[in-house]
Amino acid sequence: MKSRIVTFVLLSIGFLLIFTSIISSIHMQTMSQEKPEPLFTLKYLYNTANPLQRDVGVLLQEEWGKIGVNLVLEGYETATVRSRIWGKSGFPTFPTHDEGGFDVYLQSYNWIPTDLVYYLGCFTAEGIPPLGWNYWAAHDSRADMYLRKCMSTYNMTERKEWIYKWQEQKQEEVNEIVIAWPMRAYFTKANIKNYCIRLNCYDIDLWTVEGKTEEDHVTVRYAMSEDPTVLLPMFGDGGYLSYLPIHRCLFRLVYDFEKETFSLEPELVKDYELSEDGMSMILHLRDDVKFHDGVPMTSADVKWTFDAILDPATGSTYYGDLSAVIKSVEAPDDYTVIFHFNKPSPEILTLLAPPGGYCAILPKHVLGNIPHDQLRTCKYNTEEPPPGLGPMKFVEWKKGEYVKFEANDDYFKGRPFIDEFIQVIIPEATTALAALEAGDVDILHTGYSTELAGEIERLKKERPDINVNLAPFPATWFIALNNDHPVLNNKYVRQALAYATPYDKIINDLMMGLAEHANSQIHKSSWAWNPNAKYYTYDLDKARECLRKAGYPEWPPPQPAETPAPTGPSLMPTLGGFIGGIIIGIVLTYVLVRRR
Amino acid sequence: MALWDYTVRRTIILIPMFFLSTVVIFSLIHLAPGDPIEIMFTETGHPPPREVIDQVRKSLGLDRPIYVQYLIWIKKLLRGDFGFSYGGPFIGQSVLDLIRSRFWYTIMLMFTAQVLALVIAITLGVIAAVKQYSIFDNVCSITALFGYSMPNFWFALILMLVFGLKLGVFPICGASTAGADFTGFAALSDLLRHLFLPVLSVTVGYTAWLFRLVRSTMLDVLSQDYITTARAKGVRERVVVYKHALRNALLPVVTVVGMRLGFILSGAVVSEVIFAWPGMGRLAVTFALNRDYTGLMGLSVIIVLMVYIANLVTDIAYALIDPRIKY
Repeated sequence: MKSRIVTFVLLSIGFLLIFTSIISSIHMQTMSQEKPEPLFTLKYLYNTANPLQRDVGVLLQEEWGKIGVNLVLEGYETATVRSRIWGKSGFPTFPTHDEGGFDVYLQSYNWIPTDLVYYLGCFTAEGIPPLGWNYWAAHDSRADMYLRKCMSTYNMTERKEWIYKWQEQKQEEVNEIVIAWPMRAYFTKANIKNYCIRLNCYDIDLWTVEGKTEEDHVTVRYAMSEDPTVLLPMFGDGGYLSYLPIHRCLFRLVYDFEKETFSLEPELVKDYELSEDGMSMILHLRDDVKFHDGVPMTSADVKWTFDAILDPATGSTYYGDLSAVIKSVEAPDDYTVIFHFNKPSPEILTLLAPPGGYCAILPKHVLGNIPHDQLRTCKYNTEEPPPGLGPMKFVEWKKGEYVKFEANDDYFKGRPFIDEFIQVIIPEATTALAALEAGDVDILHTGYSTELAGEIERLKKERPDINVNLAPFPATWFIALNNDHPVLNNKYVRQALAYATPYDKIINDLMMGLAEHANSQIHKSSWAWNPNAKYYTYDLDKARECLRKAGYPEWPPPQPAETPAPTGPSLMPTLGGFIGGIIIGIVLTYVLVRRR
Repeated sequence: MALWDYTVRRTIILIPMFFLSTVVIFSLIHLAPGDPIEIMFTETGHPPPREVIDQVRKSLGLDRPIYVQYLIWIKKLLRGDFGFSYGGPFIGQSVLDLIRSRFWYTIMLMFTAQVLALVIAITLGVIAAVKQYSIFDNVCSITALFGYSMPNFWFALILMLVFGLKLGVFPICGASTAGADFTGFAALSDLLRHLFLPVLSVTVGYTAWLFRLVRSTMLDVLSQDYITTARAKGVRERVVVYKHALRNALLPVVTVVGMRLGFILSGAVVSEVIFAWPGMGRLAVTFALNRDYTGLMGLSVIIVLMVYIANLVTDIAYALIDPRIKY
């Protein structure tokens, strides 16, 4: 009995020795391979539902790691990501990631393709006046000055000069790392003609279907991923989202974009007059425009629409932008509208033609009796849209299935060729593509574009009956940097990060080639784009140099040459431990056996 | 009579259970980060000013403490008012109407699938167990293994590819041909055609799972002494299998089917999303993504009630199937 206990204890000691020696050897190995201490740590925020953001994060972690940046990836679901970017970060302080904000975040921003200077306000310290939506905490007074000058003059040459300087300054300061202008793939049946991706059904009255005549009953089916969110355009939340096609074919703006050149074109107006001092504008309305219920549109409808948006009680998305410029709206007679401004605003026409269609003209005779604060919850916003002025009339919305429209015979630009337009709701991109291939739908919404990018080549080869095209999309992908972050508030650090970003890999491998390397927040299709602004390229040496300028020590730190190789001494105790342990084990076992 | 007493007793216990579960679900939903207003307004880079956001939040009562919000919600619920949707594509619409419009689609999909699966699985399972290790048994078991281990979404896509795209015999998505005005028989056949692929995708996995269960319990029961006794007594084989064995083998099957029955309303989320079937599973996903408190609560209430009813029905079914069980 006693001998057993002794053997057990001895055996335990033997195996303990073996274990300790193994562990120590592993530790030694990691010690000898450990990287030098990184220069600083940043946190990369990404949406777990967005694979592109995650993949770019993984790539940046590797690449920025080469210049000594420890990039920590933190993924959350959509709601948390949004609350970190928009929810808590009010102007003028921007919490870092650890304080509930963000350090680094990959973001895209949509632009109006023409006069987009107004929207650049969010990249200045002031933000978009007067509310100060300054998203990325850029405190660069010189860039702000350029932009302010550009935004206050009517002289196009001067505007161009200032906006060019602004872009050069932005690229010098790198308040955010501009990556690329995306392209979108769009998928239609080959017989659909005149479809323009960027207009999102706005030009539906111009579409034709090959092989059909005016007499045929033409139905076009359009696949979208989600039901429409809000039916009144004044509550739309912007961008190129699913509800937009509804607004686009039901309603009209006073001004809107021309299809090819994206210049501003009068829509519901004949012409406009701007006062000498730039403080007011007269619009002369067309007198041949009728709502879908047959009631003619007058200045009262225009005034009602703008009054509703300008009333904060309504809670319109566009309140902030419009109230910054427009003081009041006047309707002296049936076809004249006068806008009074708070300040001269060269962007006024752009403001009247937002891409989200917020200030589309709504019928006063239908909505006029509803108090402004109840517009959001009234049935015209949730169940059935009010009569509009657009080329299509609303027929039916079967929730979760489809929204149906029919041609407006009295459309003021002429009856559309298409008789019936159906927006089919298909949540899955692959399903939508299968439906297109099987002929169940005719057009896919741009929202499916990225998910279907891998299918483009196959479709081009195998399906001549399907039209696949790539078109530049008025947006910019950029890496937003929190300029308030104690490390990132140094210009040279931001420049270093811009040099250490592998643009080609991001564009070709992660964006599937559906993008073009960018040098500016402004899309290259705009008049305001400066082709001479600096293009950052991937260059680690320059990045390291920038970090040295920022006052950081050399990285990776130079290896002291005389240090003896650590393998010898570290291996000996390990081996010794091993052999010792094994010998002890054998001896013990022998003793044990002999005693028996 | 004892069964009736039992039912009444269970129903009375339901009341505190119901309140408890709503409290738990309500707090869980509110614990999740982000609220419907943030999500509604921050979709893109151009949200309205802070005061507008705050005002909308106030008008929905979301600025109040959670317990006040809960009390307001439960008070409305007791009056039969499920409230209106707080966010997402159905904002401002009555939650009850939304659920009602999706209800029959889900019942149609899930109930058909359940019934089909039950019938097929029990029939095949019994035959496979009686003829253990026969060719039929082997074929069924291997097929079931395949059906059981195959991912649902993948199978749904393959079905779509084969039947929808290559053969073109069934429509790919939706519950009806969008925009077509069918009436009478044409509408019914249109619906059935659209129903086929989603039902198939839900049924296959479920049938395989159920088949394996029926087969194994049946094998278990068939090796019992009382089966040998019955056979020794000279009872016909058919009676041995269907009366003596199957009835006993069904008990565990009833348990799991009952459990599934309760969740019938939450639908087959994957199939509903892939086939664009306008059911409640898809609705639940939309609600959850938009942090639609009222929508989620409305769905939860109905699912809680369904689970309770399913459990009750299961318990009663026990008593009917097995006379030894008394309440």
